[in-house]
Amino acid sequence: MKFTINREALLKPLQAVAGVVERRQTLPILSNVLISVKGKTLSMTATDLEVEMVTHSMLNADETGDITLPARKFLDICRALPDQAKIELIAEQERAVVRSGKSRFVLATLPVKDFPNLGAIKGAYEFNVPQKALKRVIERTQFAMAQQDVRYYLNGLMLELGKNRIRVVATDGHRLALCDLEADLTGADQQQVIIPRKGVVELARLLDDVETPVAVSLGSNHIRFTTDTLSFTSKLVDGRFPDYQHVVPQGGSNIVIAERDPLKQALVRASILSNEKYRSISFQMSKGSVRILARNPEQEEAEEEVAVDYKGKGLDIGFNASYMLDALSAVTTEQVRLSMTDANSCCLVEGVGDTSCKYVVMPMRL
Amino acid sequence: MSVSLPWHEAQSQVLLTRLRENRFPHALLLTGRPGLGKHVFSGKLAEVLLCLERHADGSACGKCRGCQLYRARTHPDLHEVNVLEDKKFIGVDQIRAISDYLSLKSQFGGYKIVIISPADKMNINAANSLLKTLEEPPMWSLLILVTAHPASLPPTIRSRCQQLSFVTPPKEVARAWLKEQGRNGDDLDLALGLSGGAPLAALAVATGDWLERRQQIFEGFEKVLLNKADPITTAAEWLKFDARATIYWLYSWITDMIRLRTGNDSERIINGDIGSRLQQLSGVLTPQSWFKCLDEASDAWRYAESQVNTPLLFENLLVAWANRK
Repeated sequence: MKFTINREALLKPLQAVAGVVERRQTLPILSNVLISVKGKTLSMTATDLEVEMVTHSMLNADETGDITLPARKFLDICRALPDQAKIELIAEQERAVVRSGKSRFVLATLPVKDFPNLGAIKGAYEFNVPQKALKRVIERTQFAMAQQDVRYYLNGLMLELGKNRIRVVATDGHRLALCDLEADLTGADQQQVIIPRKGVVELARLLDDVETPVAVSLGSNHIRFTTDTLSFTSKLVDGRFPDYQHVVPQGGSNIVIAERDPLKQALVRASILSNEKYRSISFQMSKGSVRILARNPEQEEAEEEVAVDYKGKGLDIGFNASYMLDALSAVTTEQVRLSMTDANSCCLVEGVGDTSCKYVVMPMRL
Repeated sequence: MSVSLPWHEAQSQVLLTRLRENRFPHALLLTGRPGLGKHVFSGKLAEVLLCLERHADGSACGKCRGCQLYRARTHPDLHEVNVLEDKKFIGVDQIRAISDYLSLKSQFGGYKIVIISPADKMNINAANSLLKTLEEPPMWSLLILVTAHPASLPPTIRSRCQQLSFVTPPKEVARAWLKEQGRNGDDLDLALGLSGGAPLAALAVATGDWLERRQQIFEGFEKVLLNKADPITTAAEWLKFDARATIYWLYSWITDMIRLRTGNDSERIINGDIGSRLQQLSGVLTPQSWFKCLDEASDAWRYAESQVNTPLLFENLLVAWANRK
């Protein structure tokens, strides 16, 4: 393999794949990046066995071939070279030579066939969704994923393919976030998969705010997202997601309609004096207003009153302020609807006029 | 499954039958004395299960992507847990990593294999955190625990695994195998004897400078018992040897001397090469005293596994033996 490339053309994809390489590796080869030149395409692959990233770019190579070399060192070298530098990479038996101007570096390589890259996903179902829309639904649900829960199937985002809609659900057992996304899913079976937390976070970072579609291929063990420049694959969680539909309440009798921002700000202020560990606050609903009360073990108190549209009966209900704030922040409309039944049942938070996303927050007994 | 070492035939057949009948266990406990190739067996088993184009006789093809990655030791569906270099035990973080690893699907859609070796090196927290995974592993998981000391594993771990035990092969089999490894000569029987008949351990004895080291330790031991050397100085000299190996030798000499002294099963003498010297030395103490020494040696063996002050351990043994009359 032999090619010459502009520093800038190499740096961007290299940075993208190097992000996947973990600093502490059990297998030495995982700290390497697989560089391969086929025809006029240069592709770079890195993996940590949980997620894999491959970038593709155009190139006029002198010689095709494959090589693996230390990702971090190669990236540091390229980054430290001057702007617009021409970088030449030559593979020699067990070494890789990097040349640029008067600089020369020799890097150690490891055999290409030992690199555990994934290749094509067998029997995958494929569909397209706009990048921007996918990014939105992930951003609006990922906060509700559990973190290092022993119920490992909660440490991720559930993706459900239904009739021309993709549903994304995340829950940690205390709150739940659900978003729907319209998509053309002809020929898809109804199915649920769980993308692990790490893959979700990485994916949200990768997707851009553009309308161009991202191609999704869903196999039995992996999910892959492909754009024109890169493809990102994550393993799936080996487990079943709990039946979330039982948790989402079907319209409560006590409905609050409030302006989102004033309610949120009042909640932020009140939560300053809530119990630091449990973050408990109480909502006291009466006709036309909500009083938000917080009290901590030092006997400090906060009280906020927000004018809302409420016609139900008097209700006193406790919440974890952080969960409620997360839900309110994820709502995009100006008005928000909180539907409750009583102080022991969960609260459904929705944007007024936006039915695509739903948030469920469990109450706290105070 | 193809046989990895000649004396693994029976164990291979058991697993192969279960694989064919779809009754493969989710957790295996491989037991047997050190040097029988349990670890080799676990690797071979992993290779066979990870092979994508397994032969009809149950051996790995050696050509597919699975075999290729297995041989490069980079197979994503195989996770090995050993004692880390600077540690004495397998810690709880290493075991938690197993649960995380098993919670994801496999790369090739087949088995996800975890090998814990030596499993008795798990500390109590690690063992406890393994229980949950061991009880309800996700589909297509296989946990292989390898240990020479199953009794030092918590019973809760043992009862959750299918045990597969390895026994010492017949002498002819072991000798033939050692010859295949290019070892010849009369020292084969001695090496086998010294390692309790375990071929891999015998190979290590025959190749390394074990015999030479054993000679040095034996001379010290002999002099101390005959009151020709100072026990403290001898203990200090022994610090350059591996503590467990040293105590193992001591144990085997004392056992031999008891056999010689009591005149029973003298054909089972392990250290045949120094038989006459042992015979002489055995006269120094009464059989009762030798049994006491044996108890002390076996206690020392246990201590040597834990965090112990090795110089003190040796001094303690030698001073006690030098003064016993």
